[in-house]
Amino acid sequence: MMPDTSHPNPIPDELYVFYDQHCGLCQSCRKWLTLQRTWFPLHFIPWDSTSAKSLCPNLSSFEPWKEIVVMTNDQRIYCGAASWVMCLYATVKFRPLALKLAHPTLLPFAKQICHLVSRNRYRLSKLLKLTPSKAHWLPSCTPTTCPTVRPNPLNSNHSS
Amino acid sequence: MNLTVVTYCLYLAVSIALTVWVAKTLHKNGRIFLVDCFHGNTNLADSVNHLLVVGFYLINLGFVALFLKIGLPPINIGAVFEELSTKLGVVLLVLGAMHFFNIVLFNKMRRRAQLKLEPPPIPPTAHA
Repeated sequence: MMPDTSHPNPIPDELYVFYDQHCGLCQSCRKWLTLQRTWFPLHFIPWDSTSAKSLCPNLSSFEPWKEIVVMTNDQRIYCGAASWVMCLYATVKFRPLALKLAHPTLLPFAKQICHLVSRNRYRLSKLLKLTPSKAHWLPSCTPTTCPTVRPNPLNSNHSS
Repeated sequence: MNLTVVTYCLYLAVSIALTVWVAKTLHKNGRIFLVDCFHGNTNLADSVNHLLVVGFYLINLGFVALFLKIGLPPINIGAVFEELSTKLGVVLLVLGAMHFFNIVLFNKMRRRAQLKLEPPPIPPTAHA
């Protein structure tokens, strides 16, 4: 049983997460995601970095300053709640949750929550005392230098 | 041969027979789950299946051996059957628990394998 490559939305090999490096909450989310075991590598790139622009020249058209944007290695773009679903989908532990969240009954709620959190992320960071300086625990990186995820023996099967 | 030895012999015979029967059932019917888990790799599935059955035998036979000793020696045939039913009842419950544990394990492995091949649940917003 091999992954279905003919599927219109196939399993990506890599995921680029364009996040807001000036927001403490986003930094904490990045930290949390970095600690998760994932099925494929995740690269975290600040949306306003040159690496982001070189990876996705038309990134600004997806308004990454408003909500998180993720891009697969084959240039599929996911914005807002869809990007969160994709990040959870990448993790070994939370893939079942991602599948549940993507269900038509839950997705509208997920979209509203993501929208609300994104809009108030600076306020929430302040409230939770997650200042960007404190949360700057990882340097900015390029796709080649990014610390991705903990080694996952399951990844080796996927890439083969 | 006194009644205690008769009880031991009957207990061991029935317990071992039951363990062998449950293990054979698991071995036969668990294979299909494992083949699915390991994406059609029958050699690996057979190997894991064999190892699981060996573990099953070790745990169950170990329990049967530890649970062999009876308290007071039976005084008549009726007491032999009472003692046997208590012992075999516990052995059956342990076998049942082990059997369900194995099924849950097979199912978890299968679910995990299916989850790995699950395509993204949400269509892309756009293409770069």
